[in-house]
Amino acid sequence: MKRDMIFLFVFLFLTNLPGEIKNLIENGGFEKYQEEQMVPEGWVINNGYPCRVTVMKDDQLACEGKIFLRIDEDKEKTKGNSGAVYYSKGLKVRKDTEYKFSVFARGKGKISLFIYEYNDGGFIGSVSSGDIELTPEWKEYSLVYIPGVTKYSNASVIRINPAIHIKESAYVDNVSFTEVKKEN
Amino acid sequence: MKISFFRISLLFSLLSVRLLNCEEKIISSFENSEEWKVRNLKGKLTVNFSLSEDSILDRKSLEIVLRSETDGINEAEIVKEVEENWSNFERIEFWVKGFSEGFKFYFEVEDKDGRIKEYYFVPDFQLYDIFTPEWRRITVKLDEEIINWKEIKGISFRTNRQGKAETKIKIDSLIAAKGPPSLKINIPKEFQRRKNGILDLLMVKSGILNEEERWDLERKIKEIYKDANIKVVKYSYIPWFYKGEFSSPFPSFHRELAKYDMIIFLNWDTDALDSTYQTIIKDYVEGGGNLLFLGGYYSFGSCKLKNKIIQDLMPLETIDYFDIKKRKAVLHSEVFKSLNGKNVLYYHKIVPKRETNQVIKDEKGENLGLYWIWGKGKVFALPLATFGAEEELKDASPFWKDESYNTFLRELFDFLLGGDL
Repeated sequence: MKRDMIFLFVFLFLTNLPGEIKNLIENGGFEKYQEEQMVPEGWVINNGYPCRVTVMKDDQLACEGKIFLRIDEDKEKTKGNSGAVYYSKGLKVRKDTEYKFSVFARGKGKISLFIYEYNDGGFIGSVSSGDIELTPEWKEYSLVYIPGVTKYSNASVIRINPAIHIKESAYVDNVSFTEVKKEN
Repeated sequence: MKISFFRISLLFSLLSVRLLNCEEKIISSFENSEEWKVRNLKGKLTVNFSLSEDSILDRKSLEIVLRSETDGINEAEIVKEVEENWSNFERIEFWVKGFSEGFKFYFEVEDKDGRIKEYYFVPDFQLYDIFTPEWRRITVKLDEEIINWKEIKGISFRTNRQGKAETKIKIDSLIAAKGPPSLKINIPKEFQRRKNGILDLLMVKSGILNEEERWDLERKIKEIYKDANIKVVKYSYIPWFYKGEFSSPFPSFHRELAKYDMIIFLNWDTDALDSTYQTIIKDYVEGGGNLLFLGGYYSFGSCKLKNKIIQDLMPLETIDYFDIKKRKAVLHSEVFKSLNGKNVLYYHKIVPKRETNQVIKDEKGENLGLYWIWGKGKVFALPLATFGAEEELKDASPFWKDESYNTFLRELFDFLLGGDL
């Protein structure tokens, strides 16, 4: 009886431990990078928002880990819009579930976080944090995102690509896209 | 055998030029942190030194840990006592790395009478509040007669910060120099020109005068080198109103510039180049890059090279504003045969620096094309203007007007790159 009680107690304790929040973006810290790559694995420059990406390596100066990125907007091509990189592996998302997209950045100019939305037919729209002024210190910028029906195409979102848009220049690191667990 | 002899002679002459021109002195290689002291503390600022293995020269650098602990002004000077005569030098150079976290940095020189010359330094003008995560060289020009350069007794790095913050900054290799570098202090390998068999050019231009259309460089280069990659950076500039911007980001890091075989400045206004970029360009040439500075009012005529870091790099000095000369000069060159007998109607009067190589002259012996070696690279200046009204051009044979212009450009590129891509 006593042994059963102990077992039950341990079981209840373990099942009620807060689960680790999983970053759905692999290589959000850009640590997977090989010299010949233009940008670290899993990330690409958005050709519609051209920018120059420089991969920086310094464990003391990175926000976390060793590798971080510098993104410079290519003004001639962007015509004053912004330069952007996005996570190229589409992330499956569930309707009406809350997600947090977070980026650490420092720089001059503005940052905006974007979620490019897709259904089976392709691109259907995007959600943005709007332009936020960058600061010289590392700071977290985030966007809460709940997939639903896009206002433009009236289609349900199935898959997304998180993107980082920069006006002028910024260093970025430690990117995450996580599901926000609601407390019961 | 003749070729070998020619090559040996050329090498010897280039070496002589270098020995005659360069003067360099190491002031501190930061191998001993005890030679630096802290003084004049204001507020509450903790300053700690240590030697770091992370060095631009594969030795050691000085790491300074700064911690400001009051909400007001926190300030300190990091000082080294010296006995120096810098009157023969034109610049001071040192390398820095780190994030500033709001600290401001100044390099100061003090003479024996206590007069101080202060230089505020920003390693990255695009992100001036942030500093740099890669090593950058700071160049300080010693051209002002404010202090007695013959009797320098102290140098210092002063820093201040309003509010609480903490940062680590690294400093390395402080030298005084004049003329081309001796190559004793090498540019790191990853900053040196990378060759890939294809001509990679970075062309920088102001993009506002029809003079550039007459040079017609992009099209002509593409005719000669079909595979050439030409990246053009324009600076939109409104004369007399110093306000403008780059059309696309000018390379901010050495390794971005290192992929280019040559940078061409076409009628370029050096006001648009902050000292960060001028220093990176200087480092690029030192590491084996080539620089072609083509004439026009903005490059030479408006005299904007004066007191600029890039002036150190140039084989010439400009004289005065509006120094353009109008005269139908007949070009002559032993090196660029295609120019012989061709005309230029306007050119800029310049003064060649000591021991530069003058390769294009007119019939009166005026210098219209000259170069020198800077580190492992070449700097070529052509202070010719492609001006001239239609009636002036009628009886002349301007060098940019006929098929020999292509030949000249090929000769010029061969000369600068030596078939070495």
